[in-house]
Amino acid sequence: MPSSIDVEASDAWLNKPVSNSSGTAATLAPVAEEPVFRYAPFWSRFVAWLLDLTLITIATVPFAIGLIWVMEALHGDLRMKLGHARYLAGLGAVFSWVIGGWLYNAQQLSGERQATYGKRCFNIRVTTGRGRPVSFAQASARHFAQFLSAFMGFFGFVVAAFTRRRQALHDIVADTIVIQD
Amino acid sequence: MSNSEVAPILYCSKCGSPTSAYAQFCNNCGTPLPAASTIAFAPVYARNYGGFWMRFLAYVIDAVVVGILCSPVVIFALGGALPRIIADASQNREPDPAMVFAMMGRFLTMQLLVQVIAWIYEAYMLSSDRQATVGKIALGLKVTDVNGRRISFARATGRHFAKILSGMVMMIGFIMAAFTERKQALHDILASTIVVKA
Repeated sequence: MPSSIDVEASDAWLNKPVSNSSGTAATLAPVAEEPVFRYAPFWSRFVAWLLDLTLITIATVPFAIGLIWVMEALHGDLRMKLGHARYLAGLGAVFSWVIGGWLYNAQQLSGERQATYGKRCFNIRVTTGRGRPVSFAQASARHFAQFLSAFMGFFGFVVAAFTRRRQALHDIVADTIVIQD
Repeated sequence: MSNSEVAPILYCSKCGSPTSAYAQFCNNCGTPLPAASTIAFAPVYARNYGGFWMRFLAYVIDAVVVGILCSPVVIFALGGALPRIIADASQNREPDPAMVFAMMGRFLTMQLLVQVIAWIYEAYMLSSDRQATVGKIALGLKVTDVNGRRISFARATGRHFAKILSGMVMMIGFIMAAFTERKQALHDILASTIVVKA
């Protein structure tokens, strides 16, 4: 766990000097070595999220239709009632949507561009709190923390508009920030 | 830009070590550094931004262009059934329910195709060499990122769909272009683009 003197984990270096004209070199020294990020606007993230949601849904629909078609064709061979076969196919479609969304999100965020296709549309990328690329595991943690944010009536998403480093709940949980280049 | 912090990473001109834009002196060698405001914003402030009414006119021209591009889709979707519905209505007959249902499906598909055409048109044109749609070319405007560079197809896509938000509350996101510092509409701010005179 980070301690108060752990520079890696603390964000004391983010504190900016009060003004450029009245400070001295000595008071400015602690911030001088670290980059200050330009955090992505909330509504950019919102539209990027909508684009990603649309993309995942469009990508999943052919698979879902195919699954339902196959189950309807095979329910006799599987000794299953048609209704049960359709129910299972629907479950499979939802399952594929969830798993597909996770793999897409985690793979893209930990990839070279550090962003999903929706986020790339706004020059947004996701990094660790220190501005480094996230790993697949950390991106996965962020993804499933999004469900947590969603379960509280999307309040976890909304706080991204107000927190100091523009972090949503899932960003805080996974120690990530979202920046716009 | 109240909800974002702008500070580029700068490098000391003498020793090359990274410094904050807010620092007055280099942390490594003590060389005085130029003020952040002159570095970060001066080139952008010097630009000739496209005015609100020019952009409005460009938007109207683009609406006509997209309308022409979409006309085959609209004719194909509505052409067959619309005369029959009008004929039924004019003779006070009940329209065939099956036909009305099929019509609704066609109408929704048409809406979807129109949106896709409008998106491809704008994103392709803005990311092309001209950096402008037909309406913007006609009025001598072009779209760039905040550093004056050409935007990618993806960025143009983001800007296009951010317009949904701009139009949501009484077009206030579009009207913002008349008042903001860099003449940015809401969708410009979100995609971090500017509209300049070509």
